[in-house]
Amino acid sequence: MDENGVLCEKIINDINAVIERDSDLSSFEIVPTIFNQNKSPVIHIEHNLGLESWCVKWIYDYSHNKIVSSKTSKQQKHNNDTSVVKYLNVGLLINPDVASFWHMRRQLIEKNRLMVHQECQFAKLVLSKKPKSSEAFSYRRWLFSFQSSESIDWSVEIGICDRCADKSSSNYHAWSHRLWVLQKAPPSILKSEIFLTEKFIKKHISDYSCYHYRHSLLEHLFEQSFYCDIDNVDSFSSLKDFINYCQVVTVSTTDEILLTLLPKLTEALNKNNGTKLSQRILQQFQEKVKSFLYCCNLAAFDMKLCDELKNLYGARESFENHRRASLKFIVDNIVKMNGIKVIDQCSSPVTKLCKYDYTENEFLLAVKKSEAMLGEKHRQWCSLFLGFDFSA
Amino acid sequence: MVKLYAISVFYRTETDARLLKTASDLQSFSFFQRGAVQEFMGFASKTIVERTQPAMRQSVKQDAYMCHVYVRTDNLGGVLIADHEYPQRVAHTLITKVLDEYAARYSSDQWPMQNEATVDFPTLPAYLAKYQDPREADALTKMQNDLDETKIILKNTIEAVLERGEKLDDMIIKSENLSIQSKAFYKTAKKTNSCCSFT
Repeated sequence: MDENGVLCEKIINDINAVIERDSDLSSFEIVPTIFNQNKSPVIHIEHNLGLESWCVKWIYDYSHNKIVSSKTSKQQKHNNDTSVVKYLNVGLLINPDVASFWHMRRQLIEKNRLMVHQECQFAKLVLSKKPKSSEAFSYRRWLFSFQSSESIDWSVEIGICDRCADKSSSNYHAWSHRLWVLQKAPPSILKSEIFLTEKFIKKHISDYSCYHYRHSLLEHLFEQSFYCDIDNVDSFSSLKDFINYCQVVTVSTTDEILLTLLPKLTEALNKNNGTKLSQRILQQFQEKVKSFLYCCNLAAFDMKLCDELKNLYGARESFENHRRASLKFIVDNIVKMNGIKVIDQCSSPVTKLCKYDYTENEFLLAVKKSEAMLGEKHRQWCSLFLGFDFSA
Repeated sequence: MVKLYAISVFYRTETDARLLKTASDLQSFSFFQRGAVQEFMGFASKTIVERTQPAMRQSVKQDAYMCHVYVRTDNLGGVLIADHEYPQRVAHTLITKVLDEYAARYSSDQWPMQNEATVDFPTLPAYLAKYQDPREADALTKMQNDLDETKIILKNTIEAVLERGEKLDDMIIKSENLSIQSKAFYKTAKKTNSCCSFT
């Protein structure tokens, strides 16, 4: 082994010693330095690991060669599988985008040579250096397939997503991972997600990735028939404000809101009153209606939030898009819940949208009228995506 | 991102600007960068105050950051470093408020003798934390109305603030307030912005 090799080996051992010793290691980064100052380039302060930049090129080349040669030589494969791990650690920390390195770790896990828990830590460390590493996220997802959903601390996962999204803008990798968490985790996290996304939006006003997640969250809430804290006096205040803004009549109670949004349904329920429908179906249905009100209220809240942000920061594309997405959520679900007739199936194949007979619902007519005041461009959008017909 | 990074109070003389107090929030930077970022923010703040005439308001954009500066006619100056998305109006109102409170705490004949070690001004970190959310500024609306936005001069880079013949790169290399480490960060940052690199 030449002198450079010895040096690289020493640095790699130093890095691995820190990773092994410090189980709470929170970040890794490459620290820019101009010269080799003739001391160890591995810096370890308060659970943060730094590597001076002058040596990066050497040790990456060295680790890469070691890994590749271990893959090709069959002998080593049988002898000591784990000797390659230290090179994998360094290689991936410096360059997290090599899929085959991650794949080798997966193989080692399958042979029980690596611990799942420590691997989770390692992927987290990689994310501290590159918050947009989709490989690290997908590795974490793969690792979770070995654990039962109950044993996973999902709030930690949410925390990682939050930090990664905060560090680099438009981090759809992090938000996609969070959507995956949403599907897996128990409903208990939903309430805090509503709160956390609002907080995130207020801080990252023009980063649409978060708005997109929040909209997906809203769809997910309605799918799960989720609602909470709806018995307060002002539980539907945003929705109430929205209705009152659009319409001439004023609503104040929950029943009045329901009558405005779902007139046919309320009628039908009153007539039926449990005689024909089984108790169970009726109850399920009532849950759905509660969730409908809750989610529409949230959408109305977001519309108001977008308007407020616009007043404070000036116009942004993200505000407008999110306001539209929220409006579409309300309109679409009113249409669905009321069972409004389709009058023109798939008139435009690109958007796969149907034209509905809005005249059946007075509230939708009122929405149409108030949205029409927001300018020609918005009217075009409304007619294309909500099916509002302004020609008449 | 809507964020305030640092707020500083300076005393400006004809040739120089002396730091009286500063507060910063650098949690969003990675651990090993924080020291260099702190030095650079100090460097940029001082440089800009020195090049701002009394009774002048400026907002200087540098990359994703915005340096808002105001020097009062009595030579007390304030610099606020924020993200470019932080509302400019709120930023300038906040500077005015901070400087007013500083002047209320210490009388103007004390300023020439003061330095960072002797000044105690706990309002600074408190305001930095509070006004991270610009909606907190609603309480300042009355002051905001007095502030005429057209009087704020906008500059697109720090270079635009410098006097004739001055070069930012030279100033950074010559500066005694910046450590070797910070200068290395500056060089790498310039390089990373121009082409791909490991760091």
